[in-house]
Amino acid sequence: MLCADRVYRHMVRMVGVQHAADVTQQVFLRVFEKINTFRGLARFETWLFRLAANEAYQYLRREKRWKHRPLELEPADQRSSHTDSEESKQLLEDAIGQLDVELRSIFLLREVEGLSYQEIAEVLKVPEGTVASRLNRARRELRTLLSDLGWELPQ
Amino acid sequence: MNCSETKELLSAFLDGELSHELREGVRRHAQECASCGEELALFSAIAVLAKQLPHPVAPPDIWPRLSQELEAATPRSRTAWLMRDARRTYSIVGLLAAAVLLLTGIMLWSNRRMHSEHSGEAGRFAQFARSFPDDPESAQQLLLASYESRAVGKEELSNSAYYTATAASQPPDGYAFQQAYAMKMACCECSQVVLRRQSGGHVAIFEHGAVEHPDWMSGLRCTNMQCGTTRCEVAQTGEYLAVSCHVADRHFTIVGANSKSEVEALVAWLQAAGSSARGDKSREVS
Repeated sequence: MLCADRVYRHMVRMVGVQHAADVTQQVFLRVFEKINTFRGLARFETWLFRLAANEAYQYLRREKRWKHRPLELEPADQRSSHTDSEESKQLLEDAIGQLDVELRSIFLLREVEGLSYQEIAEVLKVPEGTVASRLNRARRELRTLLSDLGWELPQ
Repeated sequence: MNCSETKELLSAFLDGELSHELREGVRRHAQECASCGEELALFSAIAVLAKQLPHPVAPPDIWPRLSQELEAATPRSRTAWLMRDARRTYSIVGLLAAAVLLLTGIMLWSNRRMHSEHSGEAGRFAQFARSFPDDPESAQQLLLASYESRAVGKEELSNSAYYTATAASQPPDGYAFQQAYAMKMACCECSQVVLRRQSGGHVAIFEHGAVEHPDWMSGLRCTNMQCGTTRCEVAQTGEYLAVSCHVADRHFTIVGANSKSEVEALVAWLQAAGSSARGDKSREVS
């Protein structure tokens, strides 16, 4: 997967699908401006996501849009037996869109991008213990939001 | 370990970020405490669901638009200077294409995992390999949720999965058959057999189709190891080993081996199973 796609999908859920392409573009402008500050000691992935996280925060602060319209998934095939799962995914997209921005960012870096706690700590410049406690908060809030949206734990 | 200590550690437990001792503490408490057990199940269900979210891709016009943005940048900016200078020889789009290639190169150089560890099969596999030995049930649940997959009976493992079928019906000495699965991966259709070690713990053996070298191990730091005539790629996953090797015309991945000698024994078993299969075939021909 191209790095542009990874940044874009992060932005779709951070700032909303309507603005994701613009903010992704801003991230890559920053990449070209700051590539001389990238030191081989850090992983490029961590450095790129740090720029992306900063750009998303700046955009959200500027626009005062802390919540956004969630990604709307394609309607599930009616013949599909996975309709429940499609509905659950849509509920999760909705809940992520309502999550506090700091918690949203950390949840996406872990669950969608699969970064380790150490990598997330480098991206967000916070201690690893903070990553663990924020992930706990993110998951508890998601649980509450999902429950409010009518989600039931699959048996 | 009490409830408040356990609840603090639930995410780190689920994400495989705890030491063996703390993991055991959390696991024991969560098994006995309904409240913590329920919260862990919810966190795990959210993680399974998150792994199934779609991956929207960037619109194709993003690079031409970026090129226009760069052209419009002020001449004082470093980027604009770079662009103006470059225009003497190359088109902006050409330069951007080169920049994208350069960035891709940096990623690969910076860490070979970039392309795949966290996003593709290698990412799923790295996560599976790290969590399977300590928590086979959750690891297996996450893996199965990532693919079109199903549990299959011993008898269902057909000739196309000869080794896993053999492992299921006549497991290597010291192991008992637990479960077999079939899953459709990007590389191929693959079968998996989970064996229970009589001395405790589990080992998973994946049999990939006629694929040269699946990308599964690229998310882990591998070293080479010679097992008889077979060259294996071995990665340390916590206190355990994950192994990738090619025997006869099949590719295998072993997860959860507890020592080099166990790796050697399992690879020797695969080689013997392969020889026996070839022997059967040659007898059939003659």
